[in-house]
Amino acid sequence: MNLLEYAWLIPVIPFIAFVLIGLLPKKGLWWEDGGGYAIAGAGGALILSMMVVWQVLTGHTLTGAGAPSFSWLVIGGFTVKFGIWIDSLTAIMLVVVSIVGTLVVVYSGGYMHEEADRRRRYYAEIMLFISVMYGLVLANNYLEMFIFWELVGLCSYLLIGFWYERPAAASAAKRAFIVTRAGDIMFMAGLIILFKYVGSFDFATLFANGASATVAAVPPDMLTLATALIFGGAIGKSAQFPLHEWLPDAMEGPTTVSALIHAATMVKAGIYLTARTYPLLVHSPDTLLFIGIIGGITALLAATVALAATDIKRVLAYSTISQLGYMTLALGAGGYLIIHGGSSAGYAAATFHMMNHAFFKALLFLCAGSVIHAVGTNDMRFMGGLGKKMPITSITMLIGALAIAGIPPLSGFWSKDEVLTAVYHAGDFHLTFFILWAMGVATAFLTAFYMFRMWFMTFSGNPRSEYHAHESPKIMTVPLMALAGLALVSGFALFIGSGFRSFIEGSLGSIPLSAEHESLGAIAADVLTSPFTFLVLGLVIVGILLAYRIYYVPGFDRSRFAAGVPGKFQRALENRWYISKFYDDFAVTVVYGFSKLADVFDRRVIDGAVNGFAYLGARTGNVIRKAQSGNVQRYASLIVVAIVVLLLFILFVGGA
Amino acid sequence: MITIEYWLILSSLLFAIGAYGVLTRKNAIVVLMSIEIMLNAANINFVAFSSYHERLHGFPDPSGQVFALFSIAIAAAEVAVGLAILLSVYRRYQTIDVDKINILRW
Amino acid sequence: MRPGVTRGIAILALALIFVGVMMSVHWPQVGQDQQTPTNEDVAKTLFGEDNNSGYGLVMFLIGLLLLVALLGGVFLAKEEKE
Repeated sequence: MNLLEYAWLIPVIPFIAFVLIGLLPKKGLWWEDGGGYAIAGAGGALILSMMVVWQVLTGHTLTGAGAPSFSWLVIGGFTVKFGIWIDSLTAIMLVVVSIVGTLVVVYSGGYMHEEADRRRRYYAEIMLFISVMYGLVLANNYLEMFIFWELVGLCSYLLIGFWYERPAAASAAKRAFIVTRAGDIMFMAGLIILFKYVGSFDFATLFANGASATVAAVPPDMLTLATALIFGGAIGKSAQFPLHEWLPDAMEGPTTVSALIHAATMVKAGIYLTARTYPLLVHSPDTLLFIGIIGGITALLAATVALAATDIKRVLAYSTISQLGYMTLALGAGGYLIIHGGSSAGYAAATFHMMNHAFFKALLFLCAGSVIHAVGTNDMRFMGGLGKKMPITSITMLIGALAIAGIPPLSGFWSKDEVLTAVYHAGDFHLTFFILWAMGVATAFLTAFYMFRMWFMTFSGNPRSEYHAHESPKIMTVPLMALAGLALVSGFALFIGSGFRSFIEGSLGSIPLSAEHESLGAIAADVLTSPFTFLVLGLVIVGILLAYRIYYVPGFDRSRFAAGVPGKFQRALENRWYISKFYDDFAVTVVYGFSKLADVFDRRVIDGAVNGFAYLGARTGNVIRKAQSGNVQRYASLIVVAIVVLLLFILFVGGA
Repeated sequence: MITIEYWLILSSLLFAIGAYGVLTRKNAIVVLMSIEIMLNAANINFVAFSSYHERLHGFPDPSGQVFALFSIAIAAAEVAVGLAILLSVYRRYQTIDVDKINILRW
Repeated sequence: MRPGVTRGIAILALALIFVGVMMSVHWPQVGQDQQTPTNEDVAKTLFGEDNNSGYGLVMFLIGLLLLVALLGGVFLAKEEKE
C-alpha cells in the first residue's frame, strides 16, 4: 500500500477535531473544554506524519505527475486542482509541525487552565491552525498553497487577538493581518506573472526538468520580478525587514500561540515557500542576491533591537526574526552555490537551521510561558532569582539559550555554522556575501549576548520584585523536557543515514547538482577544524561572558550606558530603530492627507456645483421678474412689436 | 369708381392711429376711445369688402354688412362694461392714469 | 427715449406693412358693374328670405348681450351706500 497517497488525511484529522470542538455541546467536551480532542487531533496527525516521514526516509516520495489531485474548480479551459506533494522538504516541515504542534497543545492543557469557557475557542482555533498548516505544507500547486497561506494568516489573527477585550491585542492582531497582507499581495502578483506566461500553478509543471519549460516561457526580467514578488510574500509571512514589525506586537497573544505560530510554524512558511521555489530561483541570481541581503539586514537589525528589550517575549520575538534572517540569508547564498558549483550546501543549511530553530525556539517560548505563568508579568526587570524556585524551567531554558547561541554539541552550533560557512563560500561568487557573512558573525555574537542577558536577568541573582513563583505542573514541564531533548540531539541529524544534506537534496528535484558529496566524516572534520568555526565560537563565548559580567555579577553600573552617544543608541534600540513610528507617521500622513483632499473636493467642488446652480437660478429669476411691470400698455406694445416682426419674417423670409 | 385699395388703406391707417392711441395715451378714457377707433376701422374693412364683392368675385354678398352690424352692437356692449370698470377703478385709486394703476406687478 | 417714440415707430411700421401689402395685392376684376348691395338685400340676408335662414336669432341674442352688459355696467358703477 502506498501510505503516501493517504497523506491527505494528515490535515483532515485536526480539522475534524476543530469541527468537534466547535460544534459539540458543552457536556460533550470531555476534558479541559476541548483540550482532549485537541490532543487527540494533534496526536493523530503526529502519528500519521511520522509514518509518512518514515516512508520518505526510506526513499519514497510522491511528487511530479504521480501526485494525486482532484479537480476543485473548472474555469473555462483551466482547472484548479488540489493535491499533495511529498518530498524530503515536506518531510522536514511535517516533522516540525507535528512534533511542535502536539507538544504545544499538551502544554496548553496546563497553561490555559484558568481561561475557563474561552478554552474552547482557543482549542478550536489551534486545531484549525494546525490543520491548515499541514495543508500548506502538503500542497502541490501554488494556488493551493496560497489558499492555505491566507488561512494560516487568518488563524494567526484569531489567535493573536485571543484576548480581544484588550485593545493592544486587538490592534496587534489587525496589524499582523494587514502587514502580512501586504506580503500576500506581492505573492499573488508573482503568481499571476508566472501564470500569465506558463499557464499553470502546479509544481510538477513549473519545476519539471530543472524548470526548463518555465524558463523558456518567461522572459528573464519577468522571471526575476516574479520570483522577487513571491519572495515578497515570504518577507511578509516570515517577518523580514521591512515587514517585520508585526511579529513583536504579535506577542500580545498567549505564549503558546507565540510558540506554535510565531516561532515554529507559520513564520517558517515563508522560508518553506522560498525553498520550494528554488528550481525557479536558481535561474534568477538577482533575486537570490536580494534574498540574501534582506536576510542579512533582518538578522542584524533584529539582534540589535533585542539588546534593549525588557519584555521577555519581545526578546524572543526579535530573536526569531533574527534567526529567520539567517535562514533567508542561507537560502540566498545557497542559490549562488548551486548556480556556480552545484553545491546544495546553502539550501541544506537553511532547511537544517529551520528544523533546529523550530525546536529550540518553541522550547524557549514555552519556558518563557512557564515563567510568565509563575510570576504574572512579562517584564524581565521585575524578575530575577527564579532559578532556585523553578529548576526544570531554568535548566531547559538554559539548554535552549545554549542551543541558540551556538555552543557545541547542541543543535544550534551545527546549523549556524553550516549557514555561515555557506554564506562565506558564496562570497567567492559575489562579494556582497562577504559583507553579509560579517553581519551574520556579528549577529551570532549579539545573539549569544542578549540570550544570556535574558537568562541571567530572569533566573539568577535576587528577586527584583515581590512575586510568588512555583514550578509549573507536569503537563507543562514534560513538553519542555521533550523539546530540550530534541534541541540537544537534532543537531546530529546532520549525520544520520547518508547525511542531512543528501537527504534534503532530493527535494531539489532535477536541478543539476555536482555529484561529489563530502563524506559525513569530512563534513564533521570541516566544521570542527575550520578557523571560522573557532572565530564564531570565540565570539559567542565572549558574548556570554559579557552578559555574565554585566548582568550576573552584581555591582556593574549599567547606567553609564544611559548618557551621551550610547544613550542615544539605547533609546534608538528601545524604539526599535523608529521603524514602527515611521510606518505609523507615514500611514497617517498619507491617509489623512488623502481624506482631507477628498473632503475639500466634496465640499468645494460637488457642493459648490449644486449650490451654484441654485444660486444661478435665483439670480436669473431676480433679473427676469422686472419684466412684469404691471403696465398694460407696455404689454400691448410688446404684442404689436411681435406682430410686426412676424409679418416682416413672413414677407421677406417666407414662411409656410 | 375708385378701386378697393383706397378703402383698405383708410381702414389700415385708422387702425394704426387707434393702436397708437391705445399704446401711448395716459388717460384711460382716451384709451377706450382709441379701442373704438380700431373697432370702427375693422368695420370699414367689412363693409368695403362686402361692397366690392361683386366686382371682385362676380356675385354680390351682403354678409359683410350684416357682420358690421353685429360688430357695432358688440362694440357698444364692450364700451359699456369698460366704462363701468373704469368707474370702479377710479373709485379705488382716485386716478385714471394707466401708468399709476400697476399693482399687478412683480 | 420716451416710450411713446418706440411705440410710435412700431405702429408706423405696422401701418406701412399693411399699406404696402394692400397696394401690392392684385385684386381680381371680374364683374363689370359695381352694384352695392341695397338695404333690401341686407335685410333679406339678416332676417332670411325663406324659413330657416337668416341671422335674426343671432341679432336677438346680441341684443340680449347688450342688455346684460348695460345692466352689469350700471351695477358696477353704482356707488356704495355708506
